[in-house]
Amino acid sequence: MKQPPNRSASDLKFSLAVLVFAGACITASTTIAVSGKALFIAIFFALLAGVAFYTGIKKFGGPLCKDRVGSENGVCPRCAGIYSGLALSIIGLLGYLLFGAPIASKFAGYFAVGFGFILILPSAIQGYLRRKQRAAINAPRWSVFIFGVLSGVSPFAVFLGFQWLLKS
Amino acid sequence: MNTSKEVTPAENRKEKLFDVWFSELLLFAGVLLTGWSYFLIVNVSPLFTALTVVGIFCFGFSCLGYTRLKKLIQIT
Repeated sequence: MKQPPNRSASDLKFSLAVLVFAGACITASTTIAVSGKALFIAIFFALLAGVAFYTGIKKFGGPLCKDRVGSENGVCPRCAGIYSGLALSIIGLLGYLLFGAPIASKFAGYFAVGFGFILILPSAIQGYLRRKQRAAINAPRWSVFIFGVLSGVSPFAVFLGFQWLLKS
Repeated sequence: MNTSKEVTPAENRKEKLFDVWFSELLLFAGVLLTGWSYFLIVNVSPLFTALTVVGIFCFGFSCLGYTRLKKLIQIT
C-alpha cells in the first residue's frame, strides 16, 4: 500500500490556524448577516472564509486525504463535496431568512429530519467501505464528490425539519 | 514507522475498527450539530454560529479519520 507523504509540523499548524481563521470569518459573516446590520461586510467575511477554507483544505485536507483517494494532486473529492454542500446550505439558510419557507405540518418536519439523515447515508456507506478495504478505492471520484455535496446540504434539511417540528 | 510503544495485534485491530466507525459517527454529529445550530441562529441568537463552526469542524475531522487525527494531535 502506498504510504502518505510526510508533512512538516509547521505545515499542519499553519493549516489548522487558517481553518480556525475561516471558522471565525464564518461566525462573523453569519452574525452580521442574520442581525441584518451590513450585508456588504457580511459578504466580505464570507468571501474571506471561502479563501481561508480553500487555502486550509488545499494544504490540510487535500494532502492528508491523498493516500485515501489515490490522487496525486488537488483536494480530496469528499472534502470538496462536503464544503461545497455546506456553502449551499448556508446560502439556503440566508434564502430562508430573506424569503421564509412554506408552512408545513409536523409530519413534514419528521420527514425532513429523516431525509436529512438519509442524505448522509451514501457518503457514510462509501466511507465505511473504503476504510474496510483500505487498499481498494472502487468508487469514481465524481460519485464521491456528489455524495459529499449531499452530506453538506443535509444540515439545511435537518434545520427545516426542526423548524416545522418545533415552530408549527 | 518508529513508535515508542509496541502495539499489540488486538490493540491494532480495535483501533482499525474504531477508525472505520469514527468518521461516519462524526459525519452524523456534524449534520445534527450544524442543523440544530441553524435552528438556534434563526430562533434564538446569531451568536450560535459558533456552534455551526463546531459542526463544520466535525465534518472536517470526519474527512480526516481517526488515525490521521491522532497523528495530527501528536504533531501539534
